[in-house]
Amino acid sequence: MHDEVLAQSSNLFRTYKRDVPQKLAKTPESVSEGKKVYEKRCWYCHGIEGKGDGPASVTMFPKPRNFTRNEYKVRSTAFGSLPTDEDLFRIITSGIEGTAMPFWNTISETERWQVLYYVSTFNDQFKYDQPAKVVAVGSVPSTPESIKRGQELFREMKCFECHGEDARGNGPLTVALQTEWDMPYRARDLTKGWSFKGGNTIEDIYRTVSTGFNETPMGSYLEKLSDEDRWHVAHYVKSLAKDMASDVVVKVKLFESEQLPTEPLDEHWSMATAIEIPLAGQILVSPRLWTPSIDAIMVRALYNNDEIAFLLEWDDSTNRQEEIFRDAVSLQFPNKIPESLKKPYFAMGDSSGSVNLWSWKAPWREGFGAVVEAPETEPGVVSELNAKGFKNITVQPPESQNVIGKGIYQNGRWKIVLKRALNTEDVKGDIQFEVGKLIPVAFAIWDGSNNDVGGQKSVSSWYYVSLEKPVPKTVYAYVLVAIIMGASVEMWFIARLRRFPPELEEK
Amino acid sequence: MYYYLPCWKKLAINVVLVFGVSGWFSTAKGIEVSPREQVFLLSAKKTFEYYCSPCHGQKGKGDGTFFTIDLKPKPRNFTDLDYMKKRTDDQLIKSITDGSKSVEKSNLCPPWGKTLTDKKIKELVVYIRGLSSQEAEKTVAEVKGHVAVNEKESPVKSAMRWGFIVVITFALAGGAICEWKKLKGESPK
Amino acid sequence: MRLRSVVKLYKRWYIIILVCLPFAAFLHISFGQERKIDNMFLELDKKYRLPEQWSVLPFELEDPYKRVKNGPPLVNVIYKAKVEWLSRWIANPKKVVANAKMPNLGLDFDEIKAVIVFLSSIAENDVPQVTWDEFLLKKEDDLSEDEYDKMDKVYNAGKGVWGRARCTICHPIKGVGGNVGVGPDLGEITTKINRNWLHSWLGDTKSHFPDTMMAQYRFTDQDVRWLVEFIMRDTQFVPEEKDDEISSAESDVKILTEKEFSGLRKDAALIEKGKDVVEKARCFVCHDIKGISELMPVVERKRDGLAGFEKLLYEIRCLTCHRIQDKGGTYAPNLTFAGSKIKMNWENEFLLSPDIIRPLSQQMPKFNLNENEAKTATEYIEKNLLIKESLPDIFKDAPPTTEIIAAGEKLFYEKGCNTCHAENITKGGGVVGPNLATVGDRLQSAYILYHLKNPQRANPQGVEPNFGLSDEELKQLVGFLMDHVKKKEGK
Repeated sequence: MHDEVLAQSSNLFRTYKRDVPQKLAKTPESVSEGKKVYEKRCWYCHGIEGKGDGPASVTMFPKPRNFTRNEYKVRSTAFGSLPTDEDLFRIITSGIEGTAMPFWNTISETERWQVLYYVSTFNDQFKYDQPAKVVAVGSVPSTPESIKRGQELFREMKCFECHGEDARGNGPLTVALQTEWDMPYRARDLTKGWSFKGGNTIEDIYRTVSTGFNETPMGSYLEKLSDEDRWHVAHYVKSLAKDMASDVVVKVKLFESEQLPTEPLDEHWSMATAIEIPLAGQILVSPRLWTPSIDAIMVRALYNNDEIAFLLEWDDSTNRQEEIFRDAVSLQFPNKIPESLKKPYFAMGDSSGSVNLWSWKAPWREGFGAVVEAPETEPGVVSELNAKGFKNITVQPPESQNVIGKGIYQNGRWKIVLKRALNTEDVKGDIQFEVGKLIPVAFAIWDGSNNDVGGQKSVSSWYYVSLEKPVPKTVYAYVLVAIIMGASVEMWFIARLRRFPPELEEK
Repeated sequence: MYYYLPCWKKLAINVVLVFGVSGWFSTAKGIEVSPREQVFLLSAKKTFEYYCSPCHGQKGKGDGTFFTIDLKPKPRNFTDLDYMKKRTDDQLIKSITDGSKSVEKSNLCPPWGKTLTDKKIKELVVYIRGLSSQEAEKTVAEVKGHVAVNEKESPVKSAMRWGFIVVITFALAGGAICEWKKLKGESPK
Repeated sequence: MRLRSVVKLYKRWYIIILVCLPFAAFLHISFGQERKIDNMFLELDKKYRLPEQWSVLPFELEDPYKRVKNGPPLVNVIYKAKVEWLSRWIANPKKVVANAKMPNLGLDFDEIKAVIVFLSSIAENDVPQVTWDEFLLKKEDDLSEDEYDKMDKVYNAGKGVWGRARCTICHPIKGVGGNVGVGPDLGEITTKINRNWLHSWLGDTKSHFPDTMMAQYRFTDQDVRWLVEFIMRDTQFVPEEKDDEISSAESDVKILTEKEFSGLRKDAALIEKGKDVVEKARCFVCHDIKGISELMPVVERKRDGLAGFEKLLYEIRCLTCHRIQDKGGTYAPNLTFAGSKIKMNWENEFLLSPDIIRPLSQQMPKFNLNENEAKTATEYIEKNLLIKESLPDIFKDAPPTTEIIAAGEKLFYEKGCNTCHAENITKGGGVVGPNLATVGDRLQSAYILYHLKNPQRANPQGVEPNFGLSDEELKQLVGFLMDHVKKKEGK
């Protein structure tokens, strides 16, 4: 079990474990033991009365499950029915991706059975309802035709209303519910495979499509689609779901040209490898962001002899800009490349280490009106700042603003280019890039429609940027030279030996 | 483990939990203010529009709709460059912080020093100065010329290094071949 | 009978009871055991539920902004809105009503047709048909002079009702107004609804849309008739004349006409298709649609048996504008501590007939509450919406002396309070803050001191700065303001 824990925690997403060990008998003793486990581990989030309103729930989104109602999402039973005991066991064991529910295979199986028996006492329906019928699961192999049929069905069944045309979770319904009505439903971005509740294997996706999620707009398609059709849809969705291609180092590729691309849509950006970096809400200083709307940023970069350029992309379902609350992004570097492992504090530096910030903000002007969509013609506002901690932020004077940038909003995704010379005059305030070294970098994104401004933002910790040294041709020459030298020495030695073999003592 | 402890130990742990946890949670509930509710403190312009514009007008022209025509004198027109030239920044800061009476003007502008922070008042003064000038929002600066390029090794040094390597290589290879020749020459022994 | 014989007679019963008792006790214990929560947890839980300053309220407040379903029930929509309007609306909501919050679902014309036919099939009953005066149903051009005069009277009376009800606080008209941000733009309302429906709606909004954020004004039937006349006739509710270019572009959009619709009404296949489209396009997320809502079952709010202040809050929807603790809107003053702030006598009169306190800012509409309702409200506020700390009342024992009042008056004008507050009709003053002519009747004296000491503590959104007054100055000002009571207003 120890290995299991390690395996699970080292994965970027949690595997939804489907096998269920032998069931414990449901007796009043097991319920009261479960009560003890609940009061030790569960009530802080789920509330002492199981209403999902525990003391810690204020910081969570989505909110913890309310056990007094049938809000269970990940089930193997028909829509509107209660989950089976085995379903509850699986959820407790695997946790739920994208939420604060952790995986509990650190406690014994007995304890897990006990606590789920206690949890089911919160809802009387468990006592009176008939045990729900488990949805039958067939199997259809994944073929290109199946995926194509799935794509057609995606259109026919209007999945795009919530999930969006590209399945990126930005359909008109979702955008309206989030922005106009501030409702908690978040239709999943189906390209982010790691964020599917209840797992993202093909069986899990099929199960979700068949059983739906209780009390959300994601209904069950059990009645509307035949078994085969549901498998086709599941195959299509699985083909869309990707893992997060994350890494610790942003490798900046050398671009052999005079001019680095300044347009976000330039085709040369595909030369650089992109990595996706997860972001979390800033919760160190008030105003804390417990419910960030941006969870990842995709970064790639190119450099040439003189300049370096970064392309930053992230998903934002709305493009609403106001005077104060605007979409923005900022890159943070330490003022100079650290000699040792010690870096300035990742959240805006500290008194011992200052940071250099390159910041881009969506355009807005008086004449635009109170809340507008940033027009494509405006590149946005770029500025360079220095910071020595949250309270000590200074904008660099106009003479030393060296960063230029441009942003484009397309189909729910922002693409920003930030470019600067590799080395600048302001040696004290600006980071000077050097080839081959690991330069720390951190990111922050503000989503205007989430009321993000100032300290309320999604942040990352320190990652690294490394300007790739191109492999010099001389490497091959060195190898050749080394071979010749080595062979020569060996041969000379052997020849010498053969000519003057050491004499054996003949005594 | 917890439930095997004697009662008094449980109580002690709970007490510690309550006080420790309450410290953390008190910040999580009720004291967190969304930036949206304090939007008037988020930029000097918004602060001016919220606190000052009822009397001084949205653009600082002294034509605020909430100031009745009966009262004298009228609120200051900040776009009047001739007047604003005569006022130093310190005078403006003092006027805002301690009220207009403290700089020998009317008693109608209240002291804001206990409501706004010093930093905010300084930002306000910068903004007010901006009302009387023509500056538009600066957007982008030009790329500055770079200074030092990545120091590449000077060609002379490189040539010397390569020369050295080539010489050694040839010497070794030559020596090896020479020995082999000699070996062949002395064969067979 | 003697005791022994009684016992002997009922011995059997006693034995049965004696045997059953422990069994019942055992059952009770074993099942009660499941839910018996340790007191310590309940204490901890209560501690984190509310911030320190808020009191526990007797019933949970309903937040009008957090509704289960945000759109109106669609069961009788076919009797509410014209078919052409529905067709245009579903095709592109924002084009029809500027501040619409319904998303554009991208349905094509056939699907819209099917949806409308389906919705007509689930309709139950039409609105009650109201008998209108003959002449009111005629168009303006067809009226004779006499009739026009009569209509004009009704129209003007309606205009008066409209003004007192302050409808424009919530409803923008062609983009102007609607600062609360909740009502639909009424600029083109005459293309949508008919008289009978409007009459029914204004008479009882909750019967059409139980979760509506709109207050239920206590209109008389005559009020409603006047208001209907005003709305159906006034030009601000009629769409503007559009120039030819735009109207020709719009005519490319297909609209379902009444004629086409009446032909398709009974088409069973189309009804099936409409139901299918509604289920797929997820209309039921926001709208309660008969026969479909089971797809997203949520707990219905039980509203029968509401009484007292809870009933008043529901009917008048005070929390659409006001805020109590963490529920409600931000347009009107925060009432969380109203019990410590306002004098209940004044509050009672205010509710019956709202005063104009801030001439240029928000005004409370006249809901026509009766005595009982005002009393219920003030009783609730007095009891529950209090500041936990007890506020010091410096003039509790003795009223302010004339010296203190005179000194306070001098201070008022010296400090420049009259820039924002007017305290005397003759002397005048600013209108940034509320009028203080009768503030002694309105605010509790302890609160006046609390406020003047630090205005931002009492009201974080307040514009009034903290003057940093000394205790003596505070005493004088409070005394001066307390003296502002109604009987002295004429001075």
